[in-house]
Amino acid sequence: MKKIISVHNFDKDTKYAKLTLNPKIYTLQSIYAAGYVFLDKAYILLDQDKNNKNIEVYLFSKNNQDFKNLGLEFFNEILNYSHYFSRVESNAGIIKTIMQRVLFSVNPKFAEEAEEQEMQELLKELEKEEPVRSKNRYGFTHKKRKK
Amino acid sequence: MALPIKKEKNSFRLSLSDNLYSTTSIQKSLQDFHGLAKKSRFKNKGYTGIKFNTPDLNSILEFSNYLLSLQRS
Repeated sequence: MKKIISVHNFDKDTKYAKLTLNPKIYTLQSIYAAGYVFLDKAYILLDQDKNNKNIEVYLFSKNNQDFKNLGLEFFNEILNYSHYFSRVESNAGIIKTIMQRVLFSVNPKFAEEAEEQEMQELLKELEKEEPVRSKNRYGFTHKKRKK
Repeated sequence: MALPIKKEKNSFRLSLSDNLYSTTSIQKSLQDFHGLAKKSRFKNKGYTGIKFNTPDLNSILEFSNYLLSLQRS
């Protein structure tokens, strides 16, 4: 198994932890979110490896914390946010329905306005679909023949 | 790849991947860290180079944290 947490020396006084993340498993969104939570515990730098395959996270501790623990906590936080974002995505439809019901119950006018807007959009779509009609000398409309 | 921070005589160079840090965040950070950091030419395609006129590593790390906070928002 490849090393995903490693500790290195920047100089004689400064160490840092390097974490290697597969972007297919951990999305960039989750990494940003986890990094944001860690801003008070560590200094964080992001980079990509040579082939732009993996994302590398560099952690410089602020509180002289053990680097391996810091790295493991960071992974936990990424997993937490990955789970959160995946739930939000799967529940998006239900949340939208609930919010609409809540809004419409508070003010029924919202429901009428939403219906009216939907009708307008449907009418516009129908107008687009209708073929172009031209009038003949007797005043009758007919479809233009394609040449 | 190696750490994207390179120590020079009395300064540091930071290389930021364009895939991971947006141009707007970098520009905003440079505005707010004006005087300390400026954009520099960088050979590698897909990277933005930043030069820091200070030998203090913590300033560079504060910059990177600030940049990350902008990415999140």
